[in-house]
Amino acid sequence: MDILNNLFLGFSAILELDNLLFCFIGVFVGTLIGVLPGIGPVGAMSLLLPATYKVSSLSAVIMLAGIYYGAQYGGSTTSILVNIPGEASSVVTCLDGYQMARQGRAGPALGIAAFGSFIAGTIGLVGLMLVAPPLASIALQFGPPEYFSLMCLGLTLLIYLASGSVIRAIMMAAFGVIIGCIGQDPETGSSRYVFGIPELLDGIGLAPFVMGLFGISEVLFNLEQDLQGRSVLKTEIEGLLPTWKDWKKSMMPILRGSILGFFLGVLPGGGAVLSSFASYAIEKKVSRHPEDFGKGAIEGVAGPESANNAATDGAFVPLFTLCIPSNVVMALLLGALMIHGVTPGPLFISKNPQIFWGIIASMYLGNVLLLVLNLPLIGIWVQILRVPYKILFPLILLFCLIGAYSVNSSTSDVILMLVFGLLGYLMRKYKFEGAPMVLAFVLGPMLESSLRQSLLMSDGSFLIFLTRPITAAGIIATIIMILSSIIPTFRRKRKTIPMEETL
Amino acid sequence: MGEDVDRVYSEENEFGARLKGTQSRDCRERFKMVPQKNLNSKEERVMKKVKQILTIIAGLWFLFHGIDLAGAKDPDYPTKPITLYIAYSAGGTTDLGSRAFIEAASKHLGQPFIPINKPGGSGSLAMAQVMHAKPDGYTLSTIAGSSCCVVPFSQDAPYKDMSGFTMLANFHSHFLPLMVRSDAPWQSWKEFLEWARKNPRAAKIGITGALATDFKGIYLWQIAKQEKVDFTFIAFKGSPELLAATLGGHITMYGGAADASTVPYLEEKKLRVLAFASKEKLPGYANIPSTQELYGLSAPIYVGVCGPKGLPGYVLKRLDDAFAKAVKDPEFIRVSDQIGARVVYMSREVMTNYVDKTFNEINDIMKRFREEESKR
Repeated sequence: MDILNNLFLGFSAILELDNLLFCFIGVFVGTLIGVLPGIGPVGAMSLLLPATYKVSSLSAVIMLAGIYYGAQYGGSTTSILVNIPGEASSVVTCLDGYQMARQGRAGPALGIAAFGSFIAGTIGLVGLMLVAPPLASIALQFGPPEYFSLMCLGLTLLIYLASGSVIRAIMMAAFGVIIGCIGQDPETGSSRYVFGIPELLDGIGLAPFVMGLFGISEVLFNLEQDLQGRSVLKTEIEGLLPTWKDWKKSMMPILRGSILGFFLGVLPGGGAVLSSFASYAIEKKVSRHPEDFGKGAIEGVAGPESANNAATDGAFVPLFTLCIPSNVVMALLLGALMIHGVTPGPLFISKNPQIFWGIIASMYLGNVLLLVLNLPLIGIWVQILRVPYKILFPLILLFCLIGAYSVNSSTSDVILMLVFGLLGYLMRKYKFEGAPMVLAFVLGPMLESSLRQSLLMSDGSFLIFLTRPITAAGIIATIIMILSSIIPTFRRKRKTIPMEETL
Repeated sequence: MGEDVDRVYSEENEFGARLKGTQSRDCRERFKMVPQKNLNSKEERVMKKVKQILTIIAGLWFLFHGIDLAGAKDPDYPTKPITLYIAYSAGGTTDLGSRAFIEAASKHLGQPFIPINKPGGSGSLAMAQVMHAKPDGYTLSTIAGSSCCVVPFSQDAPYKDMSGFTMLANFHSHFLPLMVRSDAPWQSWKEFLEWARKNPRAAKIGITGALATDFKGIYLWQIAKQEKVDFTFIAFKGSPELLAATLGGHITMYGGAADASTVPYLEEKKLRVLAFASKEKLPGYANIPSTQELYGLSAPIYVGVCGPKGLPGYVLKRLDDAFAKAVKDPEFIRVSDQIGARVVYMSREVMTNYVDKTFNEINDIMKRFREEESKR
C-alpha cells in the first residue's frame, strides 16, 4: 500500500502543466537524437543542462531523464533500417533487425522494438521502485574479482553470437581485444599501439568503431552492386505492426530480456553493455530454431532491445541509492541534481520522496508518450527503405560523419570511423563477423583492468578468484558454458565437417 | 600585409598553372598567355572572364581577411562568442564548474562563451587545440593539474612543456581527501601510517589513473617514500568505480578527488577522512591534517583557463578584468558550493608562477619514480 501511496504522491507532483511539458520535450528530443546515428544523449543533455538551472529540480531531472530513455527507443531505428548501430547495445539489433528489414519486415521489427522497449521500461521501473535499496548493497559487493568473473562469462557469449564458423568468431574476438588495448596501459600508464598519435592515447571510441564496422562497411559493400534505382527492399513491405505470430514468439524474449537487463544495468561498473549481447545469446540458446538467428528472427530483436531498455532503468539504481553514476549520462543527471541542491545517496528516497517518486511517475508517463510517439513514426521510417541507394547512401555517409564528429568534436574520430569502415568491408567480403569483435572490444579492457586490480588486491595470488563466493560462482559458470558448447561440437564433428565444406 | 599579397599572387600562380597544365615557366607570364590561346571560342572566353573575376574576389577576400587578423587592433574585443574547450567530459565537477565560470565571465565581457567538451589524453587534447589556435583571444581552454603537470612527461604528449600557453586565471580548487570506510580501525593518518609500516603492501590505495599519469597519485607515492611505507596503488577508471570499490571494502583507501558522489557519504559519516592531499580542506575538517602541513607537499588540484601564447595586450587586459570579477559572482559561488569545489582565484601572474613551480616539482618526483621503476 505504501508504494501505491508514494506513487500517488509522485503522480500528483508531475501532473502539472510545466512538468508534463518537460517530460514531453525530454522524450521528444530523446527520440530525435536516438534516431540520428552517433549523436548520443550526452551532447543533447549537456547542451540543455544550463537551461534547467532556472526550473525546479524535478522538472530538470524529468526532462534530462526523458532524453536518456527516449534515445534508447530511437536507437534501434537505424540499426534495423540501414544497419548502423548508434551504440554498442544496438549492435545485436542489427544482426536480425536489418535482415528483417531486407525481407520487407521492417515494420514488425520496429514495432516489436518499440513494444519491447515499453514493456521492458515498465518492468524496469517496477524493479527500481521495489528493490532499489537492497540491490544497491548487492551491487557494492561487486569488486574487481567479481567483475573479472562476470567479464569471463560475458566473453563466452561470443560462441552464440556467431552465425557462421566459431573459429572465425574467436579470431575476430581476439582482434577486438587487441584493438581494445590501444591507448594507455591501465595500471602503468605506458602507451600501447599509439604510434605517437596523441588522439589514440585514450583508446578507440566505441561510436566510430561500431558505426564504421557496420554502417560504413554496409555502404561500401553495396557499392559493388548495380545501384541504378535499387532500394534496400528486396520484397514488398508486409504490414507495419507485429502479427499475433510475432507476438507469440517475442513475449518470452521480452520478459527474459527485461529481467536480465535490469539486473545487469544495476552494476555500477558497466554491466549494461553486456545486457543486449547476453539476451541475444540466451534467446539463441533456448530457441528451438537457433539456425534462424542472423537471418531475421524476431526474437533476436525483441530480447536485446528489451534488455537495453531495462538496463537504462537499472542504471538509475546506483545513482539514486548510492550516488554513483555508472556512465556519463548518469554523471550528467547527478550534476543536474547537485546544482539544484539535491544529493542522491542512501537517504535520498526517504529525504526527497516527492523527487524520487516524481521521477518514477514521470518515467511511467514518458514510456507511454514514447510508445504513442514511436508507433505512428514506423510508417514513415519504413518508407525510407524505398529510397533508392544512390540517394540514401550519401545521406547515410553524411549522418555517420556528423555523428562520429559530434561525440568528441574530433576529426580523428571521423578518420577512425572510415578506417573501421574499410576494415568492416574487408571482413564482410571474407565472411568474418563484426559482432564478436564488438563484444570483445567492449569487454576486453574491462577484463584486463579487473584482472590486474584483483591481482594487486591479492598481492599476486590467483586464489582470490576462488575464495570469494560470487567470483567462484562466475568462474564455474564460465567453465560450464565453455564445456557445454565444446562437448556437443566434438560429438557432432562428423556432421559439421562436410557441412562446412559445402559452404 | 606583405605576406597576404604573396598569398594573392600564389593564388593566381596556382590558377595559371592549372589552366596551362605545365610546370616550368614563369607563372605570371603564363597567366597572361592563357586567354590568347583560347580566344577562338566565345563560350570559353566568357568562362575565363568569370574565373578571373572570381580569382580577384578570392584575392581581395584573403587580403581583407588578412588585414583583419594581422591588424592587431580589435579594441572592442570580444566582438564575437569565445570558444572554450573543456578538457573533461560533460557532467563532471570540472565541466560544471567551468560552465558556471564562463557564464559569470560572459556577463562582464558582453559576449557569450561556446563551451565544447573535448576530453582525452588527461586533458591534453583540448590544450593542444588551443596551442595551435590563433592568439586572438577567441579560443581558450580549461587547464587542470593533469594537463599541465603530468602529460608533458608521457612519451606521446602533444606538448613537452608549458611554453606554448598563456595562463589566464585560476578559478577553482578541488579537494583530495584520503578516506577510509568509517568502520575501519584507524582514527588518524598517524595510526594508518603505523599500521601500513608494520604491514608492507597491505594498504591498497585506489587512485584514478595509473601512477605515471595521475598527478594526484604521484604525490601519494612521494609521501609514501618520505614516510618509508609501502602502499599498493590500484588504478581505477574513474572516481565512480573507485568510490564503489571503497564502499564495498575491496580496497583500503579512496585516493581520488572529492566530487558530487562523495558528498553524501561524508555528510552521513560513512567515510572517514584521515588527511587531505590537497592544500585546501573541506569545510568542517579544519582539524584534519593536510599533507601540505605535514610534508610541505600537496597535489595541484586546481582548475583555470589558459590560451595560446602571444595573446595581445588588449585581450589580456579584458580577460584579466572579466575573470577577476567573475570569481566574485554570487551565482558562480553558489554553483561551486553545490558541486563541491572551492573558489580559489589566481591572477595571471600568480597562476603562471604557480604552474612553473608545480611543473618543476612534479618533474623531480617523476624522475625519482621512473628511476625506482626501472630498478624493479
